[in-house]
Amino acid sequence: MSSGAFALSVNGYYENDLVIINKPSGGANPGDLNKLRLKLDLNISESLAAHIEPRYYFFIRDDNLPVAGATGLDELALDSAYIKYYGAANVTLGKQRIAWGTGYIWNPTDIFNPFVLSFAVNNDEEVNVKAARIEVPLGMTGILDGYVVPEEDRGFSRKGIRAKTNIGLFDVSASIAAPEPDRTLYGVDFAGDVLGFGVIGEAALNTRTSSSGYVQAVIGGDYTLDNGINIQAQYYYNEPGKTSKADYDWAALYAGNISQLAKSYIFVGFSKIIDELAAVKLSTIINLDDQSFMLYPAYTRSIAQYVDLSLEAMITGGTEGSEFKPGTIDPTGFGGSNMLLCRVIYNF
Amino acid sequence: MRVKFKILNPKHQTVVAVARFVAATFIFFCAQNSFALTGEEIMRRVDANMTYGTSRFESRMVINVDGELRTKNMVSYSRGRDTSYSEFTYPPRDKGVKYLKIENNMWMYLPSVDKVIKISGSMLRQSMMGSDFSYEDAMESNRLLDKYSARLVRSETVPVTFRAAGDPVTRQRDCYVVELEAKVKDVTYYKRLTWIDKELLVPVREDLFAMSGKLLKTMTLGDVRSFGSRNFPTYMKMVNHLRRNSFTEMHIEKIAFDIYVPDSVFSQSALTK
Repeated sequence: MSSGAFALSVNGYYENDLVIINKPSGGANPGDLNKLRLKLDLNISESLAAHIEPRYYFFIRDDNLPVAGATGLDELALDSAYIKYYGAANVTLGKQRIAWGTGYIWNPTDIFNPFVLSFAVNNDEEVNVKAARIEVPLGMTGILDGYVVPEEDRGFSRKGIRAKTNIGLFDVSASIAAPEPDRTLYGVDFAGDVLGFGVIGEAALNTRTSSSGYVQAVIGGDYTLDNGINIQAQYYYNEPGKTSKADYDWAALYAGNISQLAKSYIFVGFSKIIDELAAVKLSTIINLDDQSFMLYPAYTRSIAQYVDLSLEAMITGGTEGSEFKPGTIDPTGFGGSNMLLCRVIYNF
Repeated sequence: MRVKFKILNPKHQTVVAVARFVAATFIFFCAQNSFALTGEEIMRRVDANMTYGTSRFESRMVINVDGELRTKNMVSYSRGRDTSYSEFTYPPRDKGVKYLKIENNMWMYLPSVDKVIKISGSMLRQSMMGSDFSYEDAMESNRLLDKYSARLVRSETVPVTFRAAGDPVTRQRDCYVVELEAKVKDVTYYKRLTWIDKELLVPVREDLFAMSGKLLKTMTLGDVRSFGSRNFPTYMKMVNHLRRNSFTEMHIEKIAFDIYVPDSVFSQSALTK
């Protein structure tokens, strides 16, 4: 709730990621990524606010080490910058995050971040877009949400609208989006509770004027055992994917036109809070078509009021030419690498 | 209030004797009536004392693990028994994290992804913001009689802290001990043993048990303050017995009741504000 008075707050964090990547060809490539992110919030009045989020990355690295979110050795960028008007409807103008859907890894109804390794990637690394967005409250639990991402060629502007409400113990949404000039995405998603299990679902029907449509869907659930271990599982169906690795469209993957190669995936995650300061998590994604996998254990600890430490590892497995062990198919030579990461974050 | 005493004549003394008898009889019946209170009646009276039209709290949560402290501050609004909104204001890492509870639904807003997430199912058993309180503890503050049957077990004297305008003072207080036993299966705590201050009608301690009978958590309440004709504990301590050397204290530092809170605060759109 905005306080209403004119006020500027400056927060952010400094993060140091020490990473060692073990390439399939052998050897260890170390890197050290330093991130400084500022979060500037300006309350102009009861109904008007601005948010600016610049970040500076300084990367000391060996070779062309690929680390999520780091595209240059010395990089200053503006991740988000928007003004927001609060009234009968909330209007946001500028570079912002638009996150739709209920899936943890896969969000087929989210055209900006349809696939994010949420257990490994800092939320701040997700893609923001320059958009005009309007959110109209529909009662206490409903909302009508629409956006336009304008492009110089108006035909390429992306737009979407979503209606969300609550029915009993469920949130349900329906959406329509136009991610490309000839593609329309019809989406539905839900999140709720069945017999003590948390359940989620999200599906998108993509239709094209030039070719046949396809479906992408995710369904999953989570449960916390009496000993405090939380188990989360989600299954992802990707109709345009291939069931045989020989048919994978690697070119489309490396060009960023698709996020997945195969048809069926599963995510399973286990997490346990050791005490109020420390937690362990084990996450895995398995490509059910070629049986390749990514295993991601992580240990996090609050080491001081403002400082957090995490130790993480990424282990990949599978046969040569599979999604998570591409071998010589990957031109960078880093596909199928294993990784160790030590991350320290100072929040201010 | 100053009371004046007078020397009375015999006629007056008879009147006084009758009055004393009537008063004694009244007190006796009141005491009988009090003693005859059922567990459910006690819980309903507590609910009536503790439930306000609207409220606003500013709280400080201190998580203590083996002497290591983590502090979190929040501002909360509530309306009736089933609707509340909370926003974390400190530390910077948690600033802007918000929670909305409407009846049996709970949502969390994460500013880093600008996304509202529904907290449901057994996720409610998880630790809330790294504390010894679970989401369910935050949600189950009321309507206990919908899920539990209540039975008055005994009376007991326990120490309770009070805070007026200065340091807290500890006093021995007479309490009802009420046992709450689950009527339904989907509860984390199969049994709850609650100590209720007889005079103030506020809970001062609660032991929370698993179905196996194992003691899971103990909550202690204190720093009871009066607001008009009603009383409210402004301190809570939760000890999770499944974890070693860990507890969480909640200090309500500012509190206001029956204030104007716009309806829009208790809506999902407020979470992204």
